Amino acid sequence: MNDLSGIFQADPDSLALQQSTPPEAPMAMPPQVLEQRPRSVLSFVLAAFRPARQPSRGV
Amino acid sequence: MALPSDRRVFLIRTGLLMGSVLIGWGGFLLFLRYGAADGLDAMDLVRAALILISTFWLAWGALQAFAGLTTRPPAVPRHDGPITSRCVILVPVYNEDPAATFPRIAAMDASLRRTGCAERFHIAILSDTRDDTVAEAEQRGFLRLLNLTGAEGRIFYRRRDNNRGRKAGNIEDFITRSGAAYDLAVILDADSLMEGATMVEMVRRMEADPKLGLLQTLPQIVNAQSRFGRIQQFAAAFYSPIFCRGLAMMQGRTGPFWGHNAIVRVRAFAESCGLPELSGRPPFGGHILSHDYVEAALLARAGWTVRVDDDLTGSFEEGPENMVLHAKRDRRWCQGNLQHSRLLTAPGLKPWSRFVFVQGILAYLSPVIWLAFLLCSIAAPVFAPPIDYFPIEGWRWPVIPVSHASKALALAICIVGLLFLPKILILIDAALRGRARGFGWAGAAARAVGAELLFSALSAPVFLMFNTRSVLQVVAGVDGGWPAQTRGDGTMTVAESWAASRWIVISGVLGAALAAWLSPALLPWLAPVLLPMMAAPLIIAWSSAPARSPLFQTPNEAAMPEVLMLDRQFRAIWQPDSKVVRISAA
Repeated sequence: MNDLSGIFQADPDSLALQQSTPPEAPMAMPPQVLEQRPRSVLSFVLAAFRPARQPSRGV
Repeated sequence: MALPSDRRVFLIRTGLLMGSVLIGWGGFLLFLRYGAADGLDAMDLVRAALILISTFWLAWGALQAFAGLTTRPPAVPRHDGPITSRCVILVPVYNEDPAATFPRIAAMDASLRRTGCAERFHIAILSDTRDDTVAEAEQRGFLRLLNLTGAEGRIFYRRRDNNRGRKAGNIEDFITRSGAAYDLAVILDADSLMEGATMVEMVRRMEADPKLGLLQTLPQIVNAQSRFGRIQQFAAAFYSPIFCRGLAMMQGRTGPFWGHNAIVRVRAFAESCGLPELSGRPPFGGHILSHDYVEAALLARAGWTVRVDDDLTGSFEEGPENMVLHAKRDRRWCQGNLQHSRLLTAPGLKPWSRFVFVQGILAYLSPVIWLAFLLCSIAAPVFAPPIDYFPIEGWRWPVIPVSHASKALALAICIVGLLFLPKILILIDAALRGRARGFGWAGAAARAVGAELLFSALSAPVFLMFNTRSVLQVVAGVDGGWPAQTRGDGTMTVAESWAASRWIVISGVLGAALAAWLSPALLPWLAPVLLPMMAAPLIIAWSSAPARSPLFQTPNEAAMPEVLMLDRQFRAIWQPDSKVVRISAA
């Protein structure tokens, strides 16, 4: 097949639309915490029996 | 405006809050004394409690106006050097008419060019349009816009595949794809218009204050054609700057965001304002509808300053042209504000941000509270104890209870005063300081204020009913969805108005019948509410008609701002068959 793209120009309107998108420059937008995680009554009761949190000893 | 010190802000907030509570408490006591005339019963206590909340809310609004009348904006941090930030103007559109939206963009671009700073600004049209026909019209309109402005490479258009998160999601989508290319973003609505010089000034203020995360302007309503639209336009131009000044004196570092006609620091917005979906289903769960209040609260939580500068002019928007469109918009805002009840306990928010949520909720609950008060008053005789004509043991002559109707009258006068006095004081202030000039001088402004007060009194019961329906729908779990904004002419016939408001007429007739049956003495008191309800279709139809009177002139009509003139010129040449000419940027 011969490449005719040099002879037949692409539709200038669709070309303009393709080139119209805003620049690619991503930026993170992390979702924020707005709701308190619901805690069950059981978790409050069991909290007293949980071992105190210790720093990891790397084992 | 420069921020008042934290101590001063605290004092102003405390003073206004205490004043409002005291006025509300005064209303409560006055009503109790009235109710005690024939013996206090449970219904009296309920009504007094409702009066307490309602009077507090009215007083809060009135005192905000007093704060605005008695203060002047302090000097603002800004610079006069060249602006260095990379800025983008975001125009989210959702099934809007491109023939109205795109000429506005062309006008703002031309206005920016005249400042000589246009190369610092890009414009991004962010389409969430679902209707393919409208989307095709947008694409044609975009090409025409490029043709008119010659701004290839500065004006962009993109259409999302889905509209997750609605407008907030649309902005978020842009920031996550392109945010790093910009320092500042001016967020607009499809009907927004801003002077180029105003946007440049906003950038200067943002550059002068690195802790400023968001700067809000007070948009003025423009292009209103109907009687209702022009009354709203006048009210926004005449009263709102004073109320906004009062708000600015209370804002501290936690000012408002109204979703558009504001500038944000992109990094601050990206770091702080990613909105999660709330657990549960709409209307209280799902996407956050009134995202702007939440974004302002999140910016403040992250330590950024949020500010409204009431001295910034050149910021415009269009408003609904009839009462039904106004009520439809209010339905969305009502759902959004009531949804904020889920966020009152959100972790880390500033106390003032939580109070702003409460205010937003009260704004929609207040009319419901008034309606509850009226219904309780009609039903009160059923609960009243029988009159004891012989209260003194052994005394053989009847004791006729003394009427305390004068206290009820005093309370009614106080309430009407809280509604009307701020507006009358604003009128006096405008006449004395020369601000009335743009409104056709003091005489024309006084006539307009009088007519506006009369229309407010007539339309308030109708809006009270629309508002109550919205609240009941939301509480019942009915989601209002995301209907596209209806803009334009807005003229309604009496038949159309009847179809939209017959339930209000029926409610008014039923209310009158109930009052005639249970409390006939109350009918004259209820007439200012019941009669407008029964006349709702006529009020809606009359107010939706095109305005022919020069009454309600605003400064923007007396001396049309540049960007509005440009908008008119671009609209005139937007017709597809007209010859394309470029409007000079010189």
